[in-house]
Amino acid sequence: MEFEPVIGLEIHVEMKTKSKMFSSGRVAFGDDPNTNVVAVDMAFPGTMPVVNKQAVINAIRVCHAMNMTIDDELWFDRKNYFYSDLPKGYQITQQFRPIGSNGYIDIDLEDGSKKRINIERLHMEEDTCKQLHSWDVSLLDYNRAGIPLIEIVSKPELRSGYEAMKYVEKIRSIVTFLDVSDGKMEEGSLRCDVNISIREKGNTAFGTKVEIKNLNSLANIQKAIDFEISRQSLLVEFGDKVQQETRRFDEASKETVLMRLKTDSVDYKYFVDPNIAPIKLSEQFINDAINSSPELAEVKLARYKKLGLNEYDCSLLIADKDISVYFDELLKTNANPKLLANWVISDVQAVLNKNGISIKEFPISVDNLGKLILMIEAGKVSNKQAREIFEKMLENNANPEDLAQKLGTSLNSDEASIMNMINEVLSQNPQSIIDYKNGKDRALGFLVGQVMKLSHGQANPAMTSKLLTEELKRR
Amino acid sequence: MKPVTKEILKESANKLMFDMSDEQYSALLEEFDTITKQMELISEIPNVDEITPMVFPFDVTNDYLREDVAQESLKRDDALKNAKDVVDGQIRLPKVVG
Repeated sequence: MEFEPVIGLEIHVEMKTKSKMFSSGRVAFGDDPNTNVVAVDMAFPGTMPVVNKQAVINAIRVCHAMNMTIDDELWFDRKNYFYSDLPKGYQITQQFRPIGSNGYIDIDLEDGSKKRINIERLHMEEDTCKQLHSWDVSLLDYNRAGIPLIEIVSKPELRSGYEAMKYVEKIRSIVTFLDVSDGKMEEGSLRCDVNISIREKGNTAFGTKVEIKNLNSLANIQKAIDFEISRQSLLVEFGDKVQQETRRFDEASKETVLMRLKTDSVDYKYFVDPNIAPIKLSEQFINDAINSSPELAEVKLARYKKLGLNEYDCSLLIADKDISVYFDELLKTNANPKLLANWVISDVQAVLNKNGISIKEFPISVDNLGKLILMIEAGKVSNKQAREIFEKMLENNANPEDLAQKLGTSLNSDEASIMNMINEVLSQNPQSIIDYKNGKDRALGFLVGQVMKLSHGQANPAMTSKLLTEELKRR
Repeated sequence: MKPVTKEILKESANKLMFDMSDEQYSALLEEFDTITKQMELISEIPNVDEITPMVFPFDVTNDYLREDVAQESLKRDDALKNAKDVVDGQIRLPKVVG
């Protein structure tokens, strides 16, 4: 029997707004427990939810990036359930009228082709409190309660672990480049639940679906799904039935393990939240949100290509949104884009890799790295000297011009002194002059090298070359 | 509609793990009686099932959205004052998952 997996994904993205979805409680990560809470987050009596403008702007931008229809009226509903992670006894969400519907994104497949994945809905809601479970107690931290979330629900059109991984990768790129979220799966800013079933190829009816939770990396999404496909296929192959259940991915064994059986679906008794009257979004508001949106990775890529960078360099620059932002700042120096890109891709990236740090922790400011690269371009320092200066800059982000002077590496651009050295070299190498006159270009390179040697690498190579050529013509 | 009885209220209260005095049950039953009568009144409207229920009393929208500015957090001790059991600044409960 040949099986076809049917996979749908629900992705929760935690927004990096300053305040929460329905309260002005602070959004911050890693703070002491219960220090970022206001009365609304704790559901104290008499408190009322008020919708966060930036969260709505963010949701509109993501909807637009995923080609969705945007609802110009905001309606919120209550999802009722009784659990300790929910102080109000209900979560405010958008069950009946999600802000975004019927969208799609295109993902890149292994063979270089693209596949369109349709997206059913995108809605806004609030995060729950964080529960820490030990062997006999649970501890509650309300810092996370109320943080704005967007939930993105795909149609069940994914067919493999790889496709699902590429889909999540694309969505992560969208939300990080749009500045909506830091998209860190390992920290729970982007969480992914997978619904997966199998059916005999050619069948149109769906099989019994299994939900997989706790997938905290792209690699694990792929592994968990591929494992689950073979688990379910084996079950059916041997005449067993797939049970409707929730499983989690176990990192150590690389297998999915049973969490609980789903006997019947929970009735959340959804109804419109009477505390939030419908909000009308004007055409202008929606358009402004879209037009002022940060660039998506694809748009950046196209812009970099126009600067003359090759596809490979571009892809390295946009692999990390923060690196692309650093590069964009460097571009403002107006130095040669290719030279700037080379420094970011090779020298800067090497430091990041070596120290395991992000570009945000990189010690050299855009300003100072920009100055150094301009010095190279102007021929004030050689590449070799620039790398020495770069090493020093890593220590304290010092101004490269000061460092060049201190290290005595600033190139000699004094015309008279270079001319003296040129004359000395020419008098010692009469044969090279003849070779040059006979059209041997290599002679010029040799002579420049001799001047550089004489100057202990201090002569400005560009100026040396220019003066030398002029002098040779005169002789 | 199924009539609301004291047994139903007791069962619901029990599920939510609280109980009330007999006076409170009587008061609540009276309130339900009033509500039920109002519902019956609505049922008398012809073709009522075909009418879309209103969620809000007025069919209006507004355009107010809160600016994304964080305010000072509650003092932790104040925020957790109602909790019975607090450990390391967190509310402690019997374990809620298996």
